[in-house]
Amino acid sequence: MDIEEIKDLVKRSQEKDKDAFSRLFDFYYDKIINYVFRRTLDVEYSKDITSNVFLKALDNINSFKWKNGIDSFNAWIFKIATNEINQYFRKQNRYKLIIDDPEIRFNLKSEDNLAFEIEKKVDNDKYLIILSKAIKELKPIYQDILHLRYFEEMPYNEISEILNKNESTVRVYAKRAIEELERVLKKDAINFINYGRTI
Amino acid sequence: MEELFKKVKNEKISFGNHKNALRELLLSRDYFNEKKDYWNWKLVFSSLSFSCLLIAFVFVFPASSGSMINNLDKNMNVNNLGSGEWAGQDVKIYEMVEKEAKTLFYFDARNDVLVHSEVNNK
Repeated sequence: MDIEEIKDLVKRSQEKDKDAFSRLFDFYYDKIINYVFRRTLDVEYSKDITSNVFLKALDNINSFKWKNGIDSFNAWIFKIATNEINQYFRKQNRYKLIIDDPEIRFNLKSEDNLAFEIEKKVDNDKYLIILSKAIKELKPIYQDILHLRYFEEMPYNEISEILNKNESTVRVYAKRAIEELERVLKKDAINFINYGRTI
Repeated sequence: MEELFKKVKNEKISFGNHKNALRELLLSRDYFNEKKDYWNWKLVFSSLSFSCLLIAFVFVFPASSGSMINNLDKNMNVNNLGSGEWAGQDVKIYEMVEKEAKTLFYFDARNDVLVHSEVNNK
């Protein structure tokens, strides 16, 4: 769906057009719930948080105004989702996630081959856990940026709108977040090698 | 690193019937049953201006309210809806019809003083 179609659906939703809102919901549901799930790794909480996101979006849709230069509705709804996720984390005190799965093992031949080794050795359904675990060891702002930039593939100007930070700050944080993530992934891989050696 | 993110992004998670249930919940909300908020500033401004003018007339020229009603009948796109009641008062009700809205005027039945007006979107 292109930005003009979304603009039209938003305008019609603001005029209480059920069909328009239903189409908008269908377009954003998968994006939002998958974003929430990648952040929380909990199916039931993801459903609850996603429900809250869309209820808040509906309650506040009349106060939404388009801004030039960005897909501002996308930024707006992801801002609601990000705030709901962070509220959930604050309540649960769950910014950190500890996953202790003895079945995940790495056999790292060389630190330069980190990503390649992960791909070779790990089943597909573990990617999410490994990467999400590593991201969750980072500062909350780095977690937000990594998810929005690399999973949701948003441009920096939209991320800056969502996080209420200027664009140059977001770019600097994104670079630092990747560096930190690489450090955590390497550390996790080495820990897993050591775990494998003890059994 | 980007490739790793892409692999994770392609993983499918099942959320059961949550999507359909949530859609149904949202579409049944009061928001969709409320009267449409239609803000046309030209319309609002012109209706408000007209109402203010009428009210000003009533205060400045109270004796002329009767002729004001006659003028409404003759010069405006106005229908005489007859007698009615508003806030416990007997009133005469006039309706001014425009493209997107109707304005109702309530005049006290005894002294033809304008007591209330309201704009309703069509």
